[in-house]
Amino acid sequence: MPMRKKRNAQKIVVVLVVGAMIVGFFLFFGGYGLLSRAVNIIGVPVWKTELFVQNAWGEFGGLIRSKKSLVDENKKLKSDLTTLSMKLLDRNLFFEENLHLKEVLGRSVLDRTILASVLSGPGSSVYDTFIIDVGEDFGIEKGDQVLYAGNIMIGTISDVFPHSSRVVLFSSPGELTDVLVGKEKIPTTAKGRGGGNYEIQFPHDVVVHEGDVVSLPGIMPRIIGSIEYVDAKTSDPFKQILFRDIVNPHQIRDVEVISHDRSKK
Amino acid sequence: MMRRIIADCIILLAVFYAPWWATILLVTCAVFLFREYWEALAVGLLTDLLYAGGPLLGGFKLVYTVGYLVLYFILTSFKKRTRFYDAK
Repeated sequence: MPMRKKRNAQKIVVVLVVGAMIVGFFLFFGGYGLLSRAVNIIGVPVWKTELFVQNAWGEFGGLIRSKKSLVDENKKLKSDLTTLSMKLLDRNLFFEENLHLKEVLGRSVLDRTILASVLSGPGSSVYDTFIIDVGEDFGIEKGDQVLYAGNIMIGTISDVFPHSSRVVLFSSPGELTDVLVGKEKIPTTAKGRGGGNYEIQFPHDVVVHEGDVVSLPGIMPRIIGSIEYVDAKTSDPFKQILFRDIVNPHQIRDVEVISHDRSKK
Repeated sequence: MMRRIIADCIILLAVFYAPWWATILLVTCAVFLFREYWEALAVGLLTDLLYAGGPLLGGFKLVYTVGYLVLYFILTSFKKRTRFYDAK
């Protein structure tokens, strides 16, 4: 065997042995969790630097934009705000009435939430996970639910680190979530497809429409998304329903973590 | 050597700040450009340690590490069969 080939074979053996040792360390000695924790501790200041630069750049961008475009944008935003405030008025009334009725019936449904900034969004890896800037320092625990804008449920905490946490989205590829579909609140399981998309299979005779709301089961209805497309082939006994998150997960900058009262356990 | 260190730094920053497809593209280019670019494995491991979660591929948490290992071997064997890289 020529010298070069022999050396290559030796290299491959060394790589395989080192690889096997690393895999063994990860699988049998809890090495993965330890390393993941260490790497996330180092990662937090790196991500925070990005947030700082983004904010500074945003302020600088505001300074160099023309006055006229700012005035125009300001007018448009004020007009949008007035319209939305009017629409929200009756929604808030119904919401308060709903909470009051639940309290009268002995069910307090107001959760304590912790505001968190998104350090890294789902676009950073194929895992479709978020990293947020609250962790053990704020009493976050694995399994805590994560909300956006007060009522839109987006995922759960999968790992907690000293100053950060990892959030798995309900729409992460392969993630299964129990949901209720439409006004009839038909219970089923949604499967995440990544990028804020989900799919559901229903028997052909179940009636659902595009635009129907999909929510999580519970005393407090939490919205997940709305139906975008119903694929009903006449030859198929099942129809496939595709729905999306109400909010694009790539645009989320702040979330709230529902912190349950641990003393009740 | 200097070029390689600069490439390492850019890829390291990409893991934290760039979209996933950009990082994969950069690593692919680096494996092509540099000889025995084992850093690809370290980048894969770092990405897995930072972001791995959820039920992707049955909850397997070394998707990037294994992915870059496969990428490394495929591209290295491809390079060996290419005249352009023969001198390196």
